[in-house]
Amino acid sequence: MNMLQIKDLIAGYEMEEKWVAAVDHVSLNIKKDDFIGLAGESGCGKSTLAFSIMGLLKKPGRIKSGSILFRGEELTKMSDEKLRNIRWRDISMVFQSAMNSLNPIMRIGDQIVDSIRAHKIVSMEEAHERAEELLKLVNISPDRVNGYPHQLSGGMKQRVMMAMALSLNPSLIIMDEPTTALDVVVQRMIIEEIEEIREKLGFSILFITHDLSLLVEISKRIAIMYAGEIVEIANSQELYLNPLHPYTQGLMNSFPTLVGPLRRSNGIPGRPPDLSQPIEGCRFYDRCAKKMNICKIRHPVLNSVGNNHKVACWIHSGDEDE
Amino acid sequence: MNDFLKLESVSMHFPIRKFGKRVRYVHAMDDVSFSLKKGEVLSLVGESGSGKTTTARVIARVYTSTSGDVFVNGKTINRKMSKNELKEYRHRVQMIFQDPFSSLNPTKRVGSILSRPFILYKSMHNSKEMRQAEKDVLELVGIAPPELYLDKFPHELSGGQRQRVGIAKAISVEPDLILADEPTSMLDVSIRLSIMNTLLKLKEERNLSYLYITHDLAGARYVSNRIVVMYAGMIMEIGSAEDLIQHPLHPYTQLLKKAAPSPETGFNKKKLGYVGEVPSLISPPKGCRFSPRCPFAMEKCSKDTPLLYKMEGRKVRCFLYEKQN
Repeated sequence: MNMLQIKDLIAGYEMEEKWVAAVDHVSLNIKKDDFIGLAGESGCGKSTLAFSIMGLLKKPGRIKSGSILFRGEELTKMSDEKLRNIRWRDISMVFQSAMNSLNPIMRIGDQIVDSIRAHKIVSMEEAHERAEELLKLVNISPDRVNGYPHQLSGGMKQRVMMAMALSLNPSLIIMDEPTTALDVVVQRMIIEEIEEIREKLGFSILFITHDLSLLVEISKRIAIMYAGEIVEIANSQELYLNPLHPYTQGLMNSFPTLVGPLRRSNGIPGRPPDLSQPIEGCRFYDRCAKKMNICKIRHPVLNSVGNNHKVACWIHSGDEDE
Repeated sequence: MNDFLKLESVSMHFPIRKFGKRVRYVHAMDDVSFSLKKGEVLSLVGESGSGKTTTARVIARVYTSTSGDVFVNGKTINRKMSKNELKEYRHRVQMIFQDPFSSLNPTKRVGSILSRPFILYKSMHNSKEMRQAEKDVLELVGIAPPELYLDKFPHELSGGQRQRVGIAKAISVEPDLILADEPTSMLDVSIRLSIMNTLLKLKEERNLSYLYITHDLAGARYVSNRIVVMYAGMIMEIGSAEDLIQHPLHPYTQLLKKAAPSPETGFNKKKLGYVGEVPSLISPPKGCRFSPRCPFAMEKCSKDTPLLYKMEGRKVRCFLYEKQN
């Protein structure tokens, strides 16, 4: 069963007489126990999608249409009050610059206690106990409860943020570039920990990053986002071994390899289109090495090519109708 | 061939003052020696706090080293330079910075930003000549058509374009050595390679040398001839790029390689487990600085500091290789 069901979501930003469609007709399902990765360049709408799910999209941003169903309940039309009950308790988030999201003048334990008590009525003692428990879970010795953020390394701050996100046993955690600012070794350790905790507690993760090479290794499924749309979605191995969309292929060729022959490649030339202008055909048209005539006029939609693999590209969908 | 740049056991200790008294030191660099030939790309690889950036800044004369010596073109730079000498030195040695979003003056147009090095180092004042020179250098770094960009402000450019302007600024005065401090780490994955390619192309065309600082082993493999691995202010391993990455000798280099994402090595990798974190540089561990985290640590590792032992085409600071020496 799908825990979270995003259907035809259009969200974006209302600028002066312009509408910037940062998320355009995105559909995505997240099951229980899922570890789904969302990859794309900056400005492709990854974070807007995350904020839409959390109901945190602030003006001038707004959800224009589409639905986000969480356990059958519509999130987009929910009152703030009800939404606050779901937020953090059922869906929590680890933010991008998590290392700077901690309050520098508040003890770590108190910050975790705060996040617990803001969403659930528990006694102070219970909350403190829970805070220590959570720190243990993320491999920080519980005596750090009385420490301040500046006494922690970047990796430990990130772990504290994870502890906060875990505090109310949510069933979905959205992680927006949680390890981007960290060193490789610390990044690897934290990612292994995330997976261990996930296996133990059984929540789902939506992991947002621009580092596809990392995503391929850790997530079960990957969705590739480009200019506000999901252009390809498949199981990680399938996507790595058999990327179909020219954009995905370009991304796969954009990271230098550690082993095997050293291949020279140019990355993906050009830059993403301006999303405030209507685009008729495929949004990747200008940068695509395999473009055809049809790509300029008609917009490709996500099409199943079997093997749980969907791609939005005319090369792989022939001339079928939408 | 001659070494263009040579560091001889350079150390850099930053004092920590308490009530004006120097009480302790941050050991940012200790006994760092390496050399760089003309036309060579040398990568400094390590985690944050390993001393990579400090090394670049000592070479750029931002800091004066506590001990040891740096030679550029055979001459030491640890001396008092006259104004002209200093200008000449900064002409020869240029830097590319990590963050293209903060390294360009937001109130100046691209043309004006690019004109500074021409005025300063080439005494160019003819505005027509200058405009042509600016266009040429923009074209060289792959911004086309340059006319369109000269009158733009940095905020109108993408991150990749901004970094290209940064590169243009550095190469415009025809330096010999470029210190590139993580030039791609703030950029999108899709444009990193093309920036690296631009750097490599310029190196070929102009016989430049790069000191390329990065934390990304795969990126270092892509651009460099040789790699220096640093950890907690000390060099752990030096070797040719390909050899060092395929057969890392030092346990720290092995850890770095294991931690780097590389889906091409297969999916079901062995887990790393908890391997500890980078030590404090105020009181670095005794003996080998990696010993508290090292899976092969022996008794003497926490007592004595290993030397850089010579192996075939390699230098490794690890007691495991002492006997073979």
